[in-house]
Amino acid sequence: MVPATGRFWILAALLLIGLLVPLTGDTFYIKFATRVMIYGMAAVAIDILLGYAGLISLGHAAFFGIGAYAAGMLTNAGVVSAFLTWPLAVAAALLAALVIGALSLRTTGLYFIMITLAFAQMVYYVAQSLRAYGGNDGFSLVSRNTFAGLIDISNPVAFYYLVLVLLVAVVVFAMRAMNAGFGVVLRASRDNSDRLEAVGVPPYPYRLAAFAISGAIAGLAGALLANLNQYVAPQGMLSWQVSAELLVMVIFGAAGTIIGPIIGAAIYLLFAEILSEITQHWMLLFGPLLIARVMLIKDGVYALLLRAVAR
Amino acid sequence: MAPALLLEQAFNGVQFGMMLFLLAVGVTLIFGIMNVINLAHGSMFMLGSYFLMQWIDWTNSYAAGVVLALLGIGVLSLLLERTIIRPLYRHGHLDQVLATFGLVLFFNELVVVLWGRDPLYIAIPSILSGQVRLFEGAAYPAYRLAITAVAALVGVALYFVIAKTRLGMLIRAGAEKRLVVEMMGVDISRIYMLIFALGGVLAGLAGMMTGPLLAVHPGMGEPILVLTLVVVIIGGVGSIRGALIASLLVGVLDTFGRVLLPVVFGTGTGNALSNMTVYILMAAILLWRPRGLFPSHAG
Amino acid sequence: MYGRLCIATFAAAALWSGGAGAQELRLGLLTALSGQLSVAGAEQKRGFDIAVEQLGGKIGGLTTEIIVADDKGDPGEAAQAANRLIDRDKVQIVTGLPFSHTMMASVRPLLNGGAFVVGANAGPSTLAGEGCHPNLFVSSFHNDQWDIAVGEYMSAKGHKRAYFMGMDYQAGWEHTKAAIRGFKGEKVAEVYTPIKQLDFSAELTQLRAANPDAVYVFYFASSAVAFARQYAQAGLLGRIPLYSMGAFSDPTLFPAQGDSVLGVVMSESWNHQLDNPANKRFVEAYRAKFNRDPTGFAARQYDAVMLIDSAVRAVKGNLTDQDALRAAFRKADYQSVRGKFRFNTNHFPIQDITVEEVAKNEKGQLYSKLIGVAINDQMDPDYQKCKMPK
Repeated sequence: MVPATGRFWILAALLLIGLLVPLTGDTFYIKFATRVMIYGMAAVAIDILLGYAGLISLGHAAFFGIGAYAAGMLTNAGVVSAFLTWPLAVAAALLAALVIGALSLRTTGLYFIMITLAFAQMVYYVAQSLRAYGGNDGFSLVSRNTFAGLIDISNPVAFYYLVLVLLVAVVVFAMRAMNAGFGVVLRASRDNSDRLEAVGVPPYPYRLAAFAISGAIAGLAGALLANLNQYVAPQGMLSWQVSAELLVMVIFGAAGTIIGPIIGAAIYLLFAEILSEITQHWMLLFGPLLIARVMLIKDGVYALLLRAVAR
Repeated sequence: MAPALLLEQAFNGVQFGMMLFLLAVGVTLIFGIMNVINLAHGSMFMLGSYFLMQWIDWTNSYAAGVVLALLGIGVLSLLLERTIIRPLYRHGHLDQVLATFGLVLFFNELVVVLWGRDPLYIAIPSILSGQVRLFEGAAYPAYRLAITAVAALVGVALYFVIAKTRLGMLIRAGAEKRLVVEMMGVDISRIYMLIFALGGVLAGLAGMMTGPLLAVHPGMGEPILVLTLVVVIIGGVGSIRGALIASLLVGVLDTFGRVLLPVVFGTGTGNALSNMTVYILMAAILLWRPRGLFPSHAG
Repeated sequence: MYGRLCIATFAAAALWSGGAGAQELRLGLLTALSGQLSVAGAEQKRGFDIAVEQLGGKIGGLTTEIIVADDKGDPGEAAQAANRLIDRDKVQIVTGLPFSHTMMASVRPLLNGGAFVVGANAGPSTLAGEGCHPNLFVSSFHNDQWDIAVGEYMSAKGHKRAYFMGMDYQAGWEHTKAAIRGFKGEKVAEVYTPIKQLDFSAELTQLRAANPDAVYVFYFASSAVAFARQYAQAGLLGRIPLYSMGAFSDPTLFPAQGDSVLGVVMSESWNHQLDNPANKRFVEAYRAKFNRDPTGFAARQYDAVMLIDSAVRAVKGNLTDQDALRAAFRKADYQSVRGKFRFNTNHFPIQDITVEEVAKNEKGQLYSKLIGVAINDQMDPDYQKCKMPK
């Protein structure tokens, strides 16, 4: 365990960076940072499952996408107020996660990875068959969601701070939940589920709850992304590559730390952005980078940071 | 549907299934015995196609191209096992996913750098370019029959090796109890190398046979990789028999789904359902048997 | 060479995002440079480069900053790339946009950001109807235009029963349904296959059993290669005539398709054999540089740059006067490689639709042989749905 002070300083520094980004005054960077936070939020959602319950989901694109589709469909149907649309989008993702989780959690290990993938693929193909919503092409949102005149999120700075506040809320919530009894049971279910059962605590309901919460958070991130892009499509939101990318962000940053996945998302998107400006063949550099992370850094970039600060 | 048509579609399904089987053998053995998730398996499929194309171009001979491409994939697999995969044995599945995903990205782009983005072409050897009259009214492409036959032969050979040879015995034992094998004084890392190379070569072979059928292009390994994983899961990780049955099941169901579902449910819903067929099948089988059809002890 | 230039441009743009002077044009090329659809994107880029070269790097007589952006063939990436062009690169005009799904995702952010958009390939019907916009010009075609023509041509050839197949997405439905509308005979079947599907064994078995007089398909890039080859392998080539639209087979695909596309008849709005000075100049320049015939993707992108050049020239480089610039675009006062060309009220083309056949020249190489004009001055079916603000 690392001293809490080290973590405190890293968190403080991150929050400071988060608060200061809009001072660049450059819309491009502000929107980019917004995107980083949205993917970071989805990565945190995965980390709750992966880092604490030890469950690898390759199907979180489903909840991400359901959030985005729900937000987009409601908005285009005239439900423009975010006070209605966003909770409904989250509820839709939560419900889907409850159903998919209830079925998937009957399997374990590699089988769990693949059954979550299967369900996500089903959602993907359903979305692709929605001809009224552009099928595979997706559809644009007629407008961004509104906040009864309180905030105007078509202003990039306002949207940025809103996402920042939501991300902080998600992080605080996740950290408290994972440090509380809920998190303790989850970790126990990961490390020794037999013993847990022996003391009379069945792991299944806890795992399901974690899955549902995780799905709901991913759904919120999806609704945010729909508002950022003003566009929703199966390919970039529901495909299994999205699930894989989110997993990569978590592992890159350090699983089981809540903060690590956000750093992972930032590094992943930043590298993709910078490398793709340098060369069309940026994947040629990015692939080995992922391998290097596995071979050289045992447990992710955030863990490396923590160790550096502790020293 | 007329019986002749039904039979012909069954041929299509079996051919697709056998292709999946060639890929699934490697994945299921590498996971079942070595406990490694290898996403780069699809890259071997893709490289098989590209190698064959390149070597036919250089040697002007299909036979020489096939031999050289198989050798090339074999050597590449051995190198990969030595440099990237072996260190991964000590890591968890997540790190394996990350590293082999990195390999996938790398190989996809390497192919673009070496051969460009345009889809490329492998000619079908002229003896196989015609059609065979299976029965009245059905002129079936000879090449598709030939690759089904090759895949079936590989399956039989594999069965023989695993059931009848000392190596097969070690492989079977390795899948169940790694310790037992080590106690027998066998260098398990040798067996791992062999299995990894075998898996790679079979994936490459599938790619080589698929190349002339489809287009050879960057990223062609991913869609088939996902389907292969589905097959392995349905069959039960580590089980070759399971992989065979699951491959044929997926191949035949997918083929008939594509033909029949749009007719029954109309194009919109029917197409959506036919895309989902294999995933619905997998979810249903896992809910019924959470460790696949033929669960083995590993995995 | 442009690759390096584009990095330099990026660096310059990053340092210098303070806003463009009146005497400078910041032109974006948004296209698929990586991913599976990049075959077409690369062709667009080639056509673009030749046009810029011929104009001496000065479009409309202005010093031109060119910013190349990659949509990776993915709608989400396209939306981001569009935002980047607007927010970071401050472009005034954007062209490219090769496919309808990436176009639909990127066109709104570009227009809302105040840029003019000149679509150089995709022509989704919504943008021609209710979704039309004063600053959006699609200089290429409307998705339906080509295929109505090929459908009519199939009827004219005396085919009574035709089988229709296409890719299962918006553009696939639009193209295929247009061909069905143009065809007067009986529709035997209308089949849509998943976009990423490359093995058509099951569909071809069904097709042969149905035994139609003619087949229409909508496929391009890898799927067109796979379909053509499997059609030939199934022994159907030469037995049942195959019809499609121009992207099914072109010089980028000939090497992979080989003889399997010989005799396929396709509709287009351009052909390298069209006899006009602008086309000759383009085709010769292209052949000299790339040692083969150009494709429609390249021709349309070349044409779009020439259109932009004419409009910017007409307003004497004053890009701040958007009304004047729009009027100049509407006039389309330039020499198109298609010969006759003008814009309809919805800013989509009124143009001749040609029919071409894949044939072999005396050296035994494949080429697209121009058969003739199928429809003169064709208008798209959606222009009346467009309420264009004056």
